[in-house]
Amino acid sequence: MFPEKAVADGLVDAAHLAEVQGRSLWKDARIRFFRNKAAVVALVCLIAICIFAFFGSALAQYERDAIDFTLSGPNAYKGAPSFETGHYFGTDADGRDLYARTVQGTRISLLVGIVGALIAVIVGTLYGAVSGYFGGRTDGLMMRTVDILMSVPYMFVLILMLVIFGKSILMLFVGIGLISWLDMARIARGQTLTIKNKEFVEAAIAIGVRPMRIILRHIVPNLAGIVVVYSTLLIPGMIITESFISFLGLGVQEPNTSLGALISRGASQMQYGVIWQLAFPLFFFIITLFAFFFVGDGLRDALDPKDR
Amino acid sequence: MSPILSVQSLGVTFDVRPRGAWPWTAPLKLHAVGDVSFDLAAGECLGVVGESGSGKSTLARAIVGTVPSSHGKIIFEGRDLAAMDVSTRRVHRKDVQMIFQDPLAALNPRMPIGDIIAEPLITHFPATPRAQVKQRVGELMERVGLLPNLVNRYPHEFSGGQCQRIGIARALILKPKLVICDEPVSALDVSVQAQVVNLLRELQRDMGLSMIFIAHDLSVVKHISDRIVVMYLGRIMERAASKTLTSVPEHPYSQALISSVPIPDPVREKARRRPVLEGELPSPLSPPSGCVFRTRCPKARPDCAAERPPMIDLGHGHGVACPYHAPMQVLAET
Amino acid sequence: MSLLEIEDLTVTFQTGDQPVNAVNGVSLQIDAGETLAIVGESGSGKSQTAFAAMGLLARNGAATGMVRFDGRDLLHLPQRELNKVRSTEIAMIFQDPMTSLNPYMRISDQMAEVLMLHKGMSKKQAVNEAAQMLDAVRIPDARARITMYPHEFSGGMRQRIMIAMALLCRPRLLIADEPTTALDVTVQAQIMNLLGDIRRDFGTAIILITHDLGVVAGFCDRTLVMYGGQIMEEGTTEDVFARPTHPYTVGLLSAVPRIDRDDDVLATISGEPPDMSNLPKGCPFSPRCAVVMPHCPGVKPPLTDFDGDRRRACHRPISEVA
Repeated sequence: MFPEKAVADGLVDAAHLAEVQGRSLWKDARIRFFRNKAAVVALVCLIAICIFAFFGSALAQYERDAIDFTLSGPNAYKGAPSFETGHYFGTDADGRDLYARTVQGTRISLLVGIVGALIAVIVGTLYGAVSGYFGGRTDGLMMRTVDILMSVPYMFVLILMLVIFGKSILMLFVGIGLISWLDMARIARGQTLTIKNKEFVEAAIAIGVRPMRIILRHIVPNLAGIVVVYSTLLIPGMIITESFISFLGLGVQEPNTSLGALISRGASQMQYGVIWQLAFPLFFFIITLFAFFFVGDGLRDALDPKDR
Repeated sequence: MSPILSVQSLGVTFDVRPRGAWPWTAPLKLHAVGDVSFDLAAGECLGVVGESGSGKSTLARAIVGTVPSSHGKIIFEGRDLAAMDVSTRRVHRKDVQMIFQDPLAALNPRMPIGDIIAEPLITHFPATPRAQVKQRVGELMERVGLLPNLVNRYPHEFSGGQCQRIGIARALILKPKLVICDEPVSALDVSVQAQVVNLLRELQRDMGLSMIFIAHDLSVVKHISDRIVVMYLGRIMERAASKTLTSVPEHPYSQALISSVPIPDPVREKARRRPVLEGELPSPLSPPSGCVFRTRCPKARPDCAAERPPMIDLGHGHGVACPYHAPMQVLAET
Repeated sequence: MSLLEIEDLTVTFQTGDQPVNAVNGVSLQIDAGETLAIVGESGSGKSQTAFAAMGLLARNGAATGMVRFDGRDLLHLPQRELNKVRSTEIAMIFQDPMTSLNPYMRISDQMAEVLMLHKGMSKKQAVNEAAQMLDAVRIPDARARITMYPHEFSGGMRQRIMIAMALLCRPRLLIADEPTTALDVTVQAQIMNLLGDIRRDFGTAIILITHDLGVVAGFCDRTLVMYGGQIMEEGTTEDVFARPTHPYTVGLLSAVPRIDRDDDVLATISGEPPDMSNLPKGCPFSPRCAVVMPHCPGVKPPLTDFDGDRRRACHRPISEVA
């Protein structure tokens, strides 16, 4: 009957109201993500694989570099997977427990992927955001640098580095890190150009906010969506790169191993009827990649804003 | 009393690269704002009207400082803003604030509105204790008609009108002396427009703000402004008190503009005499010589092309940039 | 018989969570040569009503009810028949001429396409006819400029081109959805003038969908006011403006600033535009109504006739509204 009075009363009551929680865009995205069944299944797989990689060695009955000479060499065919012997995945060509090695391999591969992606995200996003925001000659210079670095055949450089500086895991991380941020920088810069023209950035400038704070507070959070999606698709790329390097024999060295190295050895032994040596690492490799791809897809759908 | 803002011969020119041109060709010059001069008294609300290409938005941005001016002075409280270096200008930003056209786009979608409103305060007075910041934000939210307990909500959870209120709260948190409103209600529904316009009026009067109100909707501008300036292709055609301008404008462009404004009254509308403006807006890349309006002016004479008409003072703050000006009762019926 | 009769039209959209009724039981009619304004703000359903009539609803939208044009029910016409009706009988022009014209095709090609499709003309004849129509809408130098692309024209010009395209097959009804909202006020005056000339010269009936009451006042014979997907009020334009009988119309008319008045404070309608997914079961305007009664949100007010050709949907008697 008297809506104004009702509103006024409401305001008085509201003064005592607790603060309402906001529903951020991330929350909306999370809800959308969890509605996507394929993505949720993939996420569960990914979590399972991570648990396997980092805690799986607790279940191993053998040390990963313990060689069982009775099962090595021409006797390898006896090293089939079985529960009784404790070799859940069987043994590899040298008689080492494949389960423990697969755990370790998965761990290394995941680490490589995640570290590579982290470097890409942190370095690439900041670089791209700064370049895009400042524009002009700075932007030109920064992006031409990226272009030049990109045009260098990275595989060649990586291999060269590994040969010159030694084949250590550290070198591998450095090498992959050096490549991975370039694409991300380009993407971040492109997005920044779009965001920079939006009114809320202009508002921040009009308020007098300093450029670095504008980049960190206004631009980067709005880049986050595309960055997150791209990184989940970047990780499999890193893993594949590392696997290829290891396949060539230049990546992680014995006794360390990665999925790529395991696959390489397993493939070379295929004709001796020891198919498990290839099957298990390959299985984990494929599942990991697929899981990342599906999660990445799910994230992209969830974060795809109808331009909020 | 000296005016709080005195814009003198302000010009803003953009360099535009024509498509497909070689990198070494000189860029074309887009004259967004030609030569604009006006004064704003403290506590006054000045309306700036014009159609697309008039340069009114660019003018606003030059005064706020998000767009650099090419020549002229922006004298604010005795200091020329255009001549300042970046860091000095930044300090002055707390006295000159802006409210934007698209209410939702003017707010960072990833920041809760409490942070958005507090941002000017934290930028210029970073040492302010958090409790005080929170209190100030709450005060402002109430002042603009928002429930303070919504402080953690995100912009997309609000309607257009509410987003604009958030924008207003943000602009006013530092108690600026000058607020520039760039089409603040154009994106809002009519019923919500009235709420926001009323709010702006009230705040302007209560806080003694000086305001520049830019819009293409003359009815709204008339309602909130004390004086109005009419722009066309980057130049001022006429300036006068709101009532005077909307009833007896002197410049042919103002006359056409005001006659074109529809009135929600069927009887008056159908009886109205309306000089319809023919022709097209010239390109700001090559504005006409002399008077920029001459290509569409019903009163144009050969000597209009010779040189720019000076602003003729008709007394009582009424100025018109046309030597052949004559008053016309635009709202009269035939 | 009326030219277009819409009866009990309801448009429902399937959105993620739950269906949303953009239009809820709307009935209206327009006679040949008449001009009808459908006035409303966002969420009123005015544009969706027109889209439903033309079969232009988005894929997740469904329309029920009846839309009768010249006796034929458009909602249930097979696609081929509907295509024949569009453009030749009913044409539509939209708000943003930049997105309604194909930026990659020359104007001549776009316009000729219409004529070649519906009238079976040859390309040469079609372009000729199109140029004549461009002359009629007062595009200067039409013959020379017809081969240009849309981006080479200004906003006002593009809207004229849209109007010309709509009129090529001399439709009997033209639906204009916010045709001047994106245009400057002087250009708006030109376009409204043009529409007036078209009505006079071609006898086209025009439905003007807009939120701008000033434009409506100067142009339309009848006015229909919508809110929240339903009709609030209808009558001749003069009647509705001079003697509004619905609280929403009253509020709207007082909230619009007028250049010929010196009001101190604008009267406002409290509250916000409606949330279409969460409307009251009864009158959609009840949350904001200044004279709301306890049963208004629960009971839908029927659309009743009064005073001859007027209609209103409100529980309050007329005397208590204004």
